[in-house]
Amino acid sequence: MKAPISVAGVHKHFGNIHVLRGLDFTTREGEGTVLLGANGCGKSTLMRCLIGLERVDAGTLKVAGTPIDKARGRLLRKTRSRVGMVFQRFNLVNNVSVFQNVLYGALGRHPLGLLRVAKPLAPRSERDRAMHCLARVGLADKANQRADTLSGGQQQRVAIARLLMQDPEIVLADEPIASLDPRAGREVMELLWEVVRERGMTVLCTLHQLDIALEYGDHILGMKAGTIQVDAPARELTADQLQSLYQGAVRVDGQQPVTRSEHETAAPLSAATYSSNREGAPA
Amino acid sequence: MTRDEWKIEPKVAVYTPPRLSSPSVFTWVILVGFAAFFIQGFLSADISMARLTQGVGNLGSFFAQAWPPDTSRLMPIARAMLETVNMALVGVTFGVILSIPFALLCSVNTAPNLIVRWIARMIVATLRTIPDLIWALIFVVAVGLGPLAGILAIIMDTIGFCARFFSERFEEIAKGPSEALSATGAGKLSVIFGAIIPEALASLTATSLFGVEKAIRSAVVLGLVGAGGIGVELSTSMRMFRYDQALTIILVILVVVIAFEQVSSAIRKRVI
Ligand SMILES: Nc1ncnc2c1ncn2[C@@H]1O[C@H](COP(=O)(O)OP(=O)(O)O)[C@@H](O)[C@H]1O
Ligand SMILES: [Mg+2]
Repeated sequence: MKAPISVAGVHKHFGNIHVLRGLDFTTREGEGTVLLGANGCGKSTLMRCLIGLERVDAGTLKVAGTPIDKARGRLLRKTRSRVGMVFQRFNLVNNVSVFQNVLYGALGRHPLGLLRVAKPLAPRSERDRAMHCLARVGLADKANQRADTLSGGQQQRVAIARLLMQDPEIVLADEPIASLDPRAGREVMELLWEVVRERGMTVLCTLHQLDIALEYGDHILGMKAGTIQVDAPARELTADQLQSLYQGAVRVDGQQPVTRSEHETAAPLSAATYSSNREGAPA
Repeated sequence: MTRDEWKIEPKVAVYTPPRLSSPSVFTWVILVGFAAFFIQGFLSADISMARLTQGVGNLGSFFAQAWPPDTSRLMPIARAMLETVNMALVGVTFGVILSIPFALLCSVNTAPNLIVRWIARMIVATLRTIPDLIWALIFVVAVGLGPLAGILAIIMDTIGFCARFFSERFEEIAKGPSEALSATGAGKLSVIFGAIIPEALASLTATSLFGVEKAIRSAVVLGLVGAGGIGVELSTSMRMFRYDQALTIILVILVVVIAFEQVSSAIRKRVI
């Protein structure tokens, strides 16, 4: 059986920051793999490389059987249409309706692109399918609203409807719940996992929260400072074993998250560093 | 609470910013250069008390002859004003439509490659640098007197203005939504028309409305060089010393331009 995603010897630099430092892993078909790591360890960069939004400096990335690092033009688009992506910041198009945003999921299927996907021109079958997807995420009644009038949780659900519209074999989710409050985050995570299971998709999901990773992941890849440190089934891992992912030099850019060892009350640098500290490294 | 509590150590004190900091060399060069040009310009304008008093006198006699405004030719004047408005609207419409492809070719995130982008930028910069009156002069030579020359001049002027601001807008748009569409396997055109243009639409509309206001103002003066519209009437009246008719024309222009600006800013407030 072919691995949906296989990564070998991948390196990536941004200027003089060495972000990905020799990654090797594969994922198994139909499994939910969680890529766990503290903020700034290079997770998003890897995800962007896997869909061809960034190019790697060395190594190979195979996605759905295609070497995506070398794919260009039509082959790249064809491969991308088989891979769905969910983003931390939802990335809906703000000035158009929720319905149109879901229709955009079908862009990769139609060689004529927008001419078959724009609301006034889309065929009946796609319109019905888009409404079906919206109903699946419980937002059919919001179809005609502008995307930016929805709450964060609702926007991410629309993004999931767009994903369902695309119906890819592989899903890349980059911190799908990091911009949401805990409750909305849970709901979105539940929904995403349900949808992925229903459609038998393979998912690679990045997270920085340890507890959620262990709860949802079938398989855990632990990332630290641009390298894979843990590669094991979730049931074989405990929270304690994963703590080290948050300790010491976790970032690729040399900045250190503030630790509270010097002064008990030192202010954290940012909410992001704070949350990874809190979840990862209790004092 | 004592003063000592807030004492700073010497090694911190050295970082305290001074109360006033002296301007950089660059600022000095600009300031001196500006002052030189200003003084030279002021002197060469040959401003004297005598000329100023004479000017005020001439202005007085202009208004004395212009008042009361002569409304006998109101109908032809209104027709010329209508022609002006038509010129502006037709010109600005084509200008805005053509600005979109130009802007797309000018922007980093939408241009097909560097060379095309560079050429498109050069064209737009040229269109913008040449003033509308000069465009009108050129088109009067090319297509003869009349509103067509005015329309063409306004198209050029609008592209120079709108394409530049459209492309700035395209470049500063959040790249997330376009990346999301690219990630579904969409082609470049689908990404542009599905994400980039919708995200920029409010700002494009506002810029286009500024374009309309600008076009009305330039359509008014284009007639001075024979490119149709009310400017033709105005220059005729002035040359025949019919200042009373000229005043009517100026008042009509005033009313129409103000009305347009009001409508346009009302629309702009709604779209933003
Ligand atoms: N486009 C980019 N240009 C320059 N540096 C980048 C870019 N994207 C990410 N980086 C740097 O790469 C490092 C890893 O970022 P990222 O992959 O977003 O980490 P994570 O998603 O794990 O938080 C960060 O230090 C960031 O500054
Ligand atoms: Mg990230």
